[in-house]
This record gives sequence, C-alpha cells and structure tokens, in this order.
Amino acid sequence: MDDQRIIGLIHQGKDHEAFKALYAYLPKVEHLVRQNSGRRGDAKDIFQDALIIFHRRVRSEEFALTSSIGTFLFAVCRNLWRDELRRRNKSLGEWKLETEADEPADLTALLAREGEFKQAEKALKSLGAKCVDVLTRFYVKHEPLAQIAKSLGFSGEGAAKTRKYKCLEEARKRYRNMMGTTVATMQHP
Amino acid sequence: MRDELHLMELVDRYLDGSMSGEERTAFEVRANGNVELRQLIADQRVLREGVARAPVRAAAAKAYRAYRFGKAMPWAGGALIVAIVAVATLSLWRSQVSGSSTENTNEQEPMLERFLDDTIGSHLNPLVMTIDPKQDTTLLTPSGIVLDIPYGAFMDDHGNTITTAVRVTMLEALEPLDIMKAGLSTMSGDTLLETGGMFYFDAQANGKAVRIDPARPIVAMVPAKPGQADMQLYQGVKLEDGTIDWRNPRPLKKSLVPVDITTLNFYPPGYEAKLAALGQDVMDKVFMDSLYYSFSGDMFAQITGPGKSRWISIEEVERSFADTTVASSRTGYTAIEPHMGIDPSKVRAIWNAGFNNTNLATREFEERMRAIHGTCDNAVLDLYVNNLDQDLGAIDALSARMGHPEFNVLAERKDGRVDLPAGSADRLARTYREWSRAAAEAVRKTQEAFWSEQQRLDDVGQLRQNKQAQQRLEQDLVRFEREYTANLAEACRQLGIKKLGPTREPPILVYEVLIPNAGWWNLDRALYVMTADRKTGSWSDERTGKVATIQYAPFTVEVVERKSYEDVMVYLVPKEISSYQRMKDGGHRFSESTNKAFTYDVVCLGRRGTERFGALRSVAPSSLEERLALEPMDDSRLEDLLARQDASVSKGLAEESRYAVWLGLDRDRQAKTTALAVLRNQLLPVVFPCSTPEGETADRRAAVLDRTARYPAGEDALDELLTVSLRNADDPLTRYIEGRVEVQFWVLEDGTVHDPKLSRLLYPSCDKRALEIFRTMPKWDPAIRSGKPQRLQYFREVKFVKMRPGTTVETMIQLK
Repeated sequence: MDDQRIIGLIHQGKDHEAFKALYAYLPKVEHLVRQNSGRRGDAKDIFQDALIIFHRRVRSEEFALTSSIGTFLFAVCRNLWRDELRRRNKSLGEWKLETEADEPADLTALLAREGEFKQAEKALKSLGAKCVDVLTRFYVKHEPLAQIAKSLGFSGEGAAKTRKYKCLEEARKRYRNMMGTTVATMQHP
Repeated sequence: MRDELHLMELVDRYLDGSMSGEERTAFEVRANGNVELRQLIADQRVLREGVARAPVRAAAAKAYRAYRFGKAMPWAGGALIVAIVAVATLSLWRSQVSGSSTENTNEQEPMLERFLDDTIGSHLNPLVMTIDPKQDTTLLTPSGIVLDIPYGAFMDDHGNTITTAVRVTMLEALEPLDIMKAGLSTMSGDTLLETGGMFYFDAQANGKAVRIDPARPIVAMVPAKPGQADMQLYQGVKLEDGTIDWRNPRPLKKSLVPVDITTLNFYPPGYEAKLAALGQDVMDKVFMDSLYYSFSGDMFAQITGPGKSRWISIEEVERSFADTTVASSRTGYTAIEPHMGIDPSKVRAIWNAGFNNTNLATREFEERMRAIHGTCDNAVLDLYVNNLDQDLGAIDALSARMGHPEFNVLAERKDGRVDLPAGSADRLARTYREWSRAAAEAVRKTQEAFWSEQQRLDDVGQLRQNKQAQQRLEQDLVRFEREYTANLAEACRQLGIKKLGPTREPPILVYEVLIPNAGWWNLDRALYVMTADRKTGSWSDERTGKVATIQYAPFTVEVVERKSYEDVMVYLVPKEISSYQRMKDGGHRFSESTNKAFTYDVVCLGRRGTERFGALRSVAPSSLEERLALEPMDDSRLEDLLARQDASVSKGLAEESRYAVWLGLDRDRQAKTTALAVLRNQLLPVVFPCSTPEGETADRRAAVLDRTARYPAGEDALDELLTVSLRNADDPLTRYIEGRVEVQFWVLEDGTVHDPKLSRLLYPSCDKRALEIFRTMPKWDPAIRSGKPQRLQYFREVKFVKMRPGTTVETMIQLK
C-alpha cells in the first residue's frame, strides 16, 4: 500500500486499515530493538507510540510528508528506543545504529512534545475507563453533552459536564504529579 | 467549583478556536498577566492531546492483533446469521447460564418467516430468549452451544447502543438428521461441505432487527465432535430459490478446557521412564519433583581456581569463553560447562495451582511442554507463560518463527485459549518471572551447600581414616618390637646365654649383614624372621650343641552369627606383652598364629548400624579353636569387658570399637551421596537433552589445553624420584613401612611447583619426606592453553618401599 493511500485512510478515519498496513514496518523496528538489548514486546510498544505520533501528524493541519512513512516511523522508533534505554540507565555505548541522514530535523522537539502527550494519556488512563470514555466522547467524537449523558447513564447534561470537569481536573493533578510539579488551585478572579 | 468549571470551559473554547476575535484578545491579555491561567491552558492542551491518543492507541493495538495473529473477525453486523460450524476436540463445556429467562416455543416469529420459508428450518424448534443487553449474558442451548453476549453488544441502525430488552432467537441443527429434517443443505457453491452442525441466530428489539456492535462481538462455543479437525465457519446467504449457499469461510479457534494442573506432566520426556528403569519409586511425586527441581542448580556453572571457587551464570561463562582477554586473565580456572535445557525452576514456577484455569493447565499445553523440552530454549517457555491471554496456536506460530519449525505442526491446530479475568495474565507472568528466579537461586544455594558439606565430611572422614591407619601401624610396630624382644629373651634362656647385649635393629639388606660374631647375629636374624612370619623355628648353637625353639601354633576363632553383623573384628591380646593384634578375617573364621610362649585373651568387637557388640575369652594354652557369641555393648560395658587388660590395650580397643561405628555411618553416608550423584548423572541427559555428552565435553576441554605440564627429565625420572626408601631415616620404625602418600600441587605459569599439600597421609616421617620432595623439586614445563602457559593443579603419589627396586629381601611385616 503506498504512502498516499495510507494517509488517505487515516483522513477517512479508517485507522485500523491504515495501521494494519503500517505494521509491515514493525519487523525492522523489532530488529533494531533486539539488537540493542530490547525485547520483542518493547519493539511493539514503541512502534505503537510511533503510530500514534504519525497519526497525530497526519491529522494536524501543518502536516506535510517530507520523507517516506517508513523512514519517519523508523526514525521515531530509533529515538524513542534511545530515550527508553537512557531511562533504563542502559549504556548507549553499544548503540549500533547511528542517526541517519534523512531523519526529520524537528524530531527532537516533536518527540519531547509527544512525550508530554503520552504522560497525559497515562494520567488519563489511570483514572479508569469511564473517565476516558466521557472525555473521548466529548473531545474526540464531539458528542453533545446530552447524548453523552444518555449513552453513559448520567442523570442529565449537568451531571455529564461535572463528570467531565472532575475527570479533567483529576487527570491534570496526576499529570502534574508525573511531571514533578503541583497544581496551584485555580481561583476565578 | 463552578468558577473553575467555567474557566475550564473558557480554555476549551479558546483551544477549539471558537471564541470571537474580541473575546479571544481579552482572554489572551488575561492569560498574559496570569501565570496560573497560562499553566492551565498548557495543561489542558496537553491533556486533550492525551485524550485524543486513547482511541488511536486502541486502534493501533487492535491492528497489531490483526497483523500478528490474524485474529478471527467478530460476527458481521447483519441481523440474520446462519452458520455452519464444527470444532474439533472441544469436549464438555460447562458454564453458568445467567441473566435471562428462557422460553421454548413453537410460535413462529414473523421475522423468521421472512427469511426461512417452509422448506428451511420449519421442523426445528426455535429457542427464544429475552435478555437484558445492559449486562453480560451467557446462554446454554439444549445442543450444548454456549452463547456469550457481552453487555452493550447490540446497536440500532444508527449505531446507538440498545438498552431495552432484546429478544434472541436461535435454531440449531448440529446432528445430520436434524439438518436433513430442517431441509438445510450443506452446499457451498457447487461443493458439498462436511458439516459439524449449523445454527441460526437472530436478535430483535421492539420488533426490529438489531445490529451487533463489532467492538463487542458475541461469542458462540459449539461442542465439537472428535475427528472433525480443520472445520471452518461459513456464513449462510439465502438464494433466490430459497436455499442457502454457504460462503465466506473462516478458520475457527478451538477453546481449551482447563484441568487440574497438578495432574499434568511437565517433566522432560523420558524422565519418569528413566527413573523407573533406574529402580526409583515413580509413584513418589514429592521425591521426583524435588529431584527434578534440584537440577536447576546445574544450570549454573562453577569456576574453580587456586583458592577460589564461585558460581556464575551461563551468560558469564559464555562471555568468558568468547572473550579471550577475560579467559587469559582467569588462567588457572577450570570452568565446568553449564547444562543446556529448560530450567527446572521455570517449570516449578508454573506447575502449581496458581496457574490453574490458564492455558498452561490444559492437555494441549502438556503436549507443548514436551516440545518445549525438546527445544532446550527457555525463551519458548517464557513466550507461552508471558502470553497467557493469547491463543496457544498464535504462540505456537511465534515459537516456530523463533527457529523451532516443529511448532508449525502444533500451530496448524489453531488451538485457542482459556479466558482469563482482566489483569490475570500480567500478574501470572510477573509471578512466573519472580518465582522462577527466586526458586533457581534457592535451589542453587541448597545444592551448593549440600555438596560442599559432603565434600567437607569426605575430607574429615579421610583425615580420621588416615589417623586411625597411622595409629594401627604404630601399635602393630610396637607389638612386633615387644614380641621380638620376648622371643629373643626366650631363645637366650633356652641356649643358656646369660648375658644379653642390647637389642639391635635387624639389618635390612642381606648382603650388608656382616657376621663378625656368629652367635648373636645369626640368632638375631633367624628370630626376626620367625617373629615376622609367625612360624615355628629353631636354631642350634654349634659351639654348645644347644637348641632354641620358638613355637607358633595356628589358632582360629568363629563368631556366632557372623553374618548378622556389619563389621566384626577379632583381636589377640597376649598377656605377657602389653599389646594386641588383629586376627585375619577369613570371612567365615578369623585366624592367626599364637606364640606358645604367651597366654592370650581373645577380644571380639562387632557392629550393626550404630549398635556395638563385644565378647572376651581367655584362651587355654592348648586351645586351637574358639567360638564366641557377641553381646551388646556400650562405652561403660566395654570398659568393664576390657578392665583386666592394660590401659593402653583397653584404650586402643575401645577406640577401634568407636571407629568401627563411625566408619560404618560414614560409609553409609558416602554410599548415599554417591548413589545420588550417580542417579543425577544418569538423569542429566534426560533433564538437559541439549548438553554435550560427557565424553565430548571432556574432549573439548582437553582440546582447549595444548599441552599438559611435564616434568622436564621425563615421566620415568619422576617415578624414580617419587619412589622412596627411608632406610636411613631417623625414625627406625619407618624402615618397615610400605605405602603411598598423595600430594596435590600446582604447576605455575613459569613451571614452579607451588603449594604442595597432602591429600592422603601415611606416616608422619613419610608425609614430611613427600612434602620435602615437592618443595625441592626442579621446575616443570608448564601446561599450555591457546599458546600461553597456564597454571594447573595436579595430583601425584609418593611411594614408600622398604627396598629400592632391584634388590630383594623377605617381607618382614605386612602393613595394612
């Protein structure tokens, strides 16, 4: 499947089809990770992170494909894995694959940003499925509050709104905790 | 809270870009002056991105499963599905039926009629059930189909989840007769299918057909008949003429039925058979388990070297062999190669009730386990245990890809899995990792402690045996001296020689015997031989014509029920000289010659287990044979028994009695240890089928060494150096000693003989001499490994002989 077709699928919301095709690049990443003291499971995890990053890039307006998808995914994975090894206090002395020439220039900044998003995702996930459900319906599917209330069995729109607020507030606290700072309680002036 | 909620909404609107220009500018100005608000905006932006990631991640994970496992697609969304199904090897399925009322009715639903005309399904009894879609429902049909309907499984045409009651209708025709009666065909295109059964499924809410949410598929488990492998799932499509064509075949997944894991066999193939062949009790599971798990210690290798011994992991061994610099810096260390196979500790970690109701507690996994043992690849076992939430078939395929094609055959069966509660798979995988590591470490320590304790006991035992042997030797030499002196006195008395010169040591070499004074020297020599040989002899003095005779007579002792004792020792105690002599054990009788000049007591000591026995009898001078019955003895009774004897005699005999008990126990211990070691050795090839055979390993180890260390003057010269006659030693008793001393020593890289130690003793002056020989030994040519000198440890014996080779003399004293 060519790159434009995959991008088309993502724009149409056919993520499953697109991702299924993109997993063709996974073996190369598995090889990289396993050459550098990782396991197959590690490769899968960072590859999924890379897919999410790629997905966001495609959906964001400023997206332009400067390299092939495969190159992009591989570059992202290589960087993610390097960060992961650093996090695990593993020496990078035996790092076998150097940065390649065609690596996107803005990758470091991009990955730092995506790292924050991932922390936020973790914070949200720690709140439980119900919170994720409410927030996803609201922010991603853009469902009206009334319908959210109906689908999830809240008493009304107000209850859904409160739930959404509480979930987001708690997620923010946990996210701040992960990032090592505390949330100053906001006061409306 | 209201205010904060409002503020959050403002931020949302700002981020959505839905503020008016004016409002936006005002908000930005406000944010500029408020660090907390800026932080909130930043956080909320990040959190919204985090929210957006969740469904994408779910899609990525789902796509991964589709990519990796080609996972069966959930039922399609159509309301009416008729399928033909068969599954092999799924026998009994028991499940809770919950949550709904069941009606069995003949009333035909209008919806059914729409699809099923009078030729299809009209003879089947529809099963109609009303369920609450807001909760999970499990249904069991009369034919044994289990339907698992998750909550929220049904959607209306707009994709909204249905919460009102749903009426589920099923028709089932699993038996060929039912299928024919129902007028159903088994045609797929022009091909006739072999069927394992068919069923029809329909669901309605408020009289309208409902769709099934693809994210919450309904699972049907259909009983399988034996012999129907490789069945596929077909979807039925109704044709114009009212018949059904079966289309779109998909492979089926086989569910697994868990059994009690402790009834399964995870031992390496042949382990039980080998144990049985070796005469062990294979009904004793506790014994078989502990023996098998003890092999976990063999997964580690041992590195020994001068003054050091430590245990290392396999990886470390591989590294040290791979890296030549490491190997050379460790010169002098012998590495025992580790064994290759599935780590018994890993088996131990899964073979317990904790893994009941998982994939592992199935007959199917038991079969895998045999194959896993065959691979010797622990990573394969890890794969199965770390993926308890996957189908066995999928893991088979992965194992095959890991370089074990034999798993392809298993993968083709497409075995399914035992479903686990959420989080169980991770928890069990973690348990497995932690458990197996801890178990391996514990086993290694236990094994190490056990074998080093055996080594210590062996050393202690060797020391005690050496000491006892030395005491016996000294005692016998003393006895000989005394008997000889007594004989000499008796001979002089008979010859009428009044004045005795000082007793002289007999000469050793025949040609060295000068005869300046015939009387004394001849007499001496003859007496010496008589005393040593214990044979009657006489000598006449040519000058006086007098004859001196020393008489010995054969004497035997029979012990009543000799066979019922493990050890029996019989001693002759001559009253005239404070000494004793052990009689020769002929099995049936004990024999020795008695000196007619002495009167004897016979002391008999026996042992059975830790029980001691004893008997004493005074022998009449004319007696040729005695028969003794042993009685139980302890220390104080033995003391009483030996009360009439000299202190040195009774002390020595009491010590012999205690020594016999100790020796018996120590022999039992050694025999047990040896038997265990032998048993383990015989099992090694079964437990670790991939290890190099013992002989090959030895060859490879020898191949590593280019040359062993050599004594420069050659092996013959070394033999000569190590054969010693101590006739000029200070201690005269050593002249009669024959035996061997074993010395353990290192030959260093420069050939120096280093740190000689005695590993087997003989007699103090001999031991001392043996050490001296090695301390003053010239340099050796060192051993060479990979072209470099290598320090190695060797063992050599120093032989002590009464004569240098090439000279002759009568044997005078037989040393034990």
